Amino acid sequence: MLNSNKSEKSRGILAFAHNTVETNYVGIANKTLELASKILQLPYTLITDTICPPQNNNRYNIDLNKFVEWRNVGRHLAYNLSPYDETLVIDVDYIIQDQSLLQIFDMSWDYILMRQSHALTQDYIASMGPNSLPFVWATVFAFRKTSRANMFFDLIDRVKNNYGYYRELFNIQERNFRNDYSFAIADIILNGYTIPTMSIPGSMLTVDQPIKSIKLVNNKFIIKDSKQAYITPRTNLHIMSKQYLESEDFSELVNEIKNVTP
Amino acid sequence: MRLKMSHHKANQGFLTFAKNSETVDYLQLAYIQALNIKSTQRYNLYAVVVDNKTNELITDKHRAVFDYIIVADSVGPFDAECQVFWLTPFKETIKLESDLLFTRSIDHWWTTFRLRDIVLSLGCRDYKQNLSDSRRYRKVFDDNELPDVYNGLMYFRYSHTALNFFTQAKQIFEQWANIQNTLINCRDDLASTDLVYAITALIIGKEKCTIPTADFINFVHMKPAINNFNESLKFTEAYVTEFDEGMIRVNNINQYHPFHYYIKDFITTDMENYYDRFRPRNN
Repeated sequence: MLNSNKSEKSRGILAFAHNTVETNYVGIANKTLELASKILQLPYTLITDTICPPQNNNRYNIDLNKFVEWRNVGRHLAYNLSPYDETLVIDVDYIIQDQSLLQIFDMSWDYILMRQSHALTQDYIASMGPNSLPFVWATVFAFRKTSRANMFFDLIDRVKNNYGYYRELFNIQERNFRNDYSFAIADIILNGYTIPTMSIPGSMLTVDQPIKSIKLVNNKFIIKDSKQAYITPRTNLHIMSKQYLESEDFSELVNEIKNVTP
Repeated sequence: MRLKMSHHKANQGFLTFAKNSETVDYLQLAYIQALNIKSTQRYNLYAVVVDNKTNELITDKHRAVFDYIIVADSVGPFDAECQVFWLTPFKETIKLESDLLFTRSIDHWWTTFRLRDIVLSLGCRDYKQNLSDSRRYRKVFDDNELPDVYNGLMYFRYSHTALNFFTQAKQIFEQWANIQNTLINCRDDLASTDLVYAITALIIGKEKCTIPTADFINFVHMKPAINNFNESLKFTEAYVTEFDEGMIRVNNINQYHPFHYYIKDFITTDMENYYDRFRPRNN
């Protein structure tokens, strides 16, 4: 018999979007979150400038071949801003294609991160520098509202606010602040200065080149860039080309996927 | 070979060799190691083997910490190491290199060690605590299909197997000029203890002196290639190193496995002051 006094744990998807001159992140988020919500059967929340003041940084834009403005450095606020007991946080350029992420909620953790990623043509060396430690991918992660998860996000905030110090301490090569690095540093410290191994299972597929089109054919993706086509199984995709994500082709793909059960 | 009646003074303990050179104060390293063992291990008797010259440097401070001081004048850089079987005051000995420290107890290792009469460390770890796959310093071992053993941390007990092992090792040291010529790509004019013990292990049977399934019996080795930093650097230059109330942290990773720091100036005054707290006092 169900205890009527105890409410079901709420679970949902959370994303951050801060528009820049070059990219309409909110527009992209509307498409990818709607798709994620439909596939995972979870509600979603989008956090934008009105509740999360953006801080400027820059990132390399693969479509324009230059560094552009990037304002998404408030990821540590996810803990306080999430309305859910269990939250799956995704970047707006992370395209959910199947229900595999639901399985992580059967596991025991306070927070869980993505540790591995590969591209269509290469494996990434996930190190913060030649003499540094592995980083994690803050593109997709999940957390529960526990004191340890709270501590994790507080630590990320501390790392962000003292990034110059932590950059030196961890032998980080890049000068730019990266969420991936602040997450990795907080993760290592919180785990007693060890390299944790618990991870969202599998490796995240990142499409890191400008894209012309992506088609879903027989439950496989045909991804075309300017030179060739790649065929991959239907899987969650991290797409770096914001130009593609803003294109009509992507809108058509989202509509098509929404109608095809994974 | 027959074993003589035991000459031992205690059941189990740690032992190291300390012969000061012009550049390295091995006695000081052994002193820090003894205090480190007193502070981290429950079975913490400690013996040091010194030569006459180093023995002259021993003061009351050292005597308060070393449980046994053994003077063996033939202590050379390597050649006397295999004398350890006859020099140790313990029935069961963990023999260490003096530049190795513990950050936690290995009391439970004794139980595993007792599965053999003699146990050599197999492989080594990088500072991230992973078993190293670097073969940069082990080419001669691979070329000659020798077991990947390290003497930096090893165990033996008073037994026929250990007697046989150390007798063979002693003969290899003595015959090194001839044996060196039988090895492929061996350019070591001086016999290194690791190499001699690897050959000895092959002769007596590596199954008798290693436990591959006990993959924790090894230590972190801070040589450059093992830890993926430039050969021209010391690890203290390549990485931020911290000493935090007995915990050693390298590049933000706590060193839970025995830590072979190898760079002798790693020991700082802060570390000496910390360990000095564990020095027995008369009053």
